[in-house]
Amino acid sequence: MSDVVIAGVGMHPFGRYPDKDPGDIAMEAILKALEDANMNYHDIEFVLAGKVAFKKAGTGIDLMMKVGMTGVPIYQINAMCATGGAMLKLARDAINSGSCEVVLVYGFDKFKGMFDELGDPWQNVLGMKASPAAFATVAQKYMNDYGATEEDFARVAVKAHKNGANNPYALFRNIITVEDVLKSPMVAYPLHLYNFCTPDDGAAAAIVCGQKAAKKFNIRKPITIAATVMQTAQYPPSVVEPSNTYSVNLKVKGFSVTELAAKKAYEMAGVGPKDIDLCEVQDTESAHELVHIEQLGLCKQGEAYKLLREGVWDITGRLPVNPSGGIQCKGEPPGASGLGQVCEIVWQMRGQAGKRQISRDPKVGLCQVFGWNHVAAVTILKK
Amino acid sequence: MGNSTGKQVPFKEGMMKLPQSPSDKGYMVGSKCRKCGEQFFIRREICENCQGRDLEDIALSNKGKLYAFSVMYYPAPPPYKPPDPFVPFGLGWIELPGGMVLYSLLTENDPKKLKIGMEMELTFEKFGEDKDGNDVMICKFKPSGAN
Repeated sequence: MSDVVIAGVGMHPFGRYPDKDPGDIAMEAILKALEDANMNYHDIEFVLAGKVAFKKAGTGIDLMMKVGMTGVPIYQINAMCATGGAMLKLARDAINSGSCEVVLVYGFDKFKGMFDELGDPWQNVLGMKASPAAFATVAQKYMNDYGATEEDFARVAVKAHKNGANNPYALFRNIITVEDVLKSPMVAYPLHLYNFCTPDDGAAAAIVCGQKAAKKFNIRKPITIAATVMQTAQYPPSVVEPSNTYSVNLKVKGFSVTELAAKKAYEMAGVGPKDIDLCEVQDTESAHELVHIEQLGLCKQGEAYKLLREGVWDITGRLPVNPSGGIQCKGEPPGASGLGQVCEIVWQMRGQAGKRQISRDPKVGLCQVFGWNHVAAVTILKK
Repeated sequence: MGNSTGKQVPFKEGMMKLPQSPSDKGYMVGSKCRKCGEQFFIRREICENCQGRDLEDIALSNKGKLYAFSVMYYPAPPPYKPPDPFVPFGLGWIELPGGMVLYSLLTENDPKKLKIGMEMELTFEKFGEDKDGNDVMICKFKPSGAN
């Protein structure tokens, strides 16, 4: 198996663009990625299009017609909030299978408000699967089990905004304080409004290619996709992971999809958690940034909030987490958010992240996305 | 409304056994796989553990311990119809004897009155009336001893 690399990335800033056609939003990211890779659309042999919230049939194919009609296969992918990582796995597998050399992977979405179809119909009538509460339940248990406080979750949001303030692709670019977070309305105990990401519009794209294409197009600073794993529930699923699950058996230890994906990804990449220099993790809300850091094995269980207090996850720290500001600042267009993480890691690895460039020179980066109903994807990038 | 028959019917068929007399407490209905023994809430056709198709109904314990919880301070999206005015509502995982945890609505909506590990018990609450005027009942867990 030869190395598959990221040849180029591009993003349309995440935010609210009520008057902008979602196709134009996606197009901007696609054209930027092509330009970044020094390629044209006719160099692309396979296209993967991710969207989750935006409802319009056939948009993946629809949209590419505006870029060019080159006859290539175009697939639309939806793996909830894990869509970006899930598409990268398909792209890498397609290249490794020998069926193609250059793949365009892009994701986009359009703001739709809170997800209203997450649970089963009867659960939704009762309001039982309101997603904020499903995530907040995990936060509440984390506080109980490890001694974290609402202030700690507020500190996560404060860190996110410190980074996001320097990210031109972020929706929220304001500095906030712990008090601001705690004073913002309680949405789902113990989490406040400023702890949560918000759904919004945006797009991100990456050009993925094999070694032959990387040489042919003279890709400078290629970033290797050392591992891509897409993981769904493995019985018994982890207790209280946000999902439609009605019941879980506590007698057998269940693993979270992120733990399962990370284990496979580390093996595939031949690295361990200690080798990771920076990462972007799914921060649907502040507590899950900490939960996911721990599930990725980047620190012991129950210690992420303590290390946060010490500044370990800051851009100047030992292992910067969400230098982009995460989706707490960027907002979450779920079709695009995973590739948004990939853009950030690529820019950081190339030293192109501007004011939010992390202090150390990263060699290995990790992206993790998690979605409703036990789905996660972990990608490890190397330079 | 106003023509209530007083007859209670479950919110979802096969989900609960409503009390039949004042001494009967009723219970939630689960499934047990006859092949591997795994238990589930709610009733299902295929065992999530072994994919067996031979499952039987079981009565779940109407007592348990609070495993984790949250309180929603905003209405859930439709089809949930919030009461007017909206009242925050509690949700949580209840650990039943034997190791099953299930997700349930809670009667309590004050996080200060909820604590992981506290004893909880099943209660049935009227959700509304169906077109025949019957009381549609849902399951909730309440702190033991609470009204």
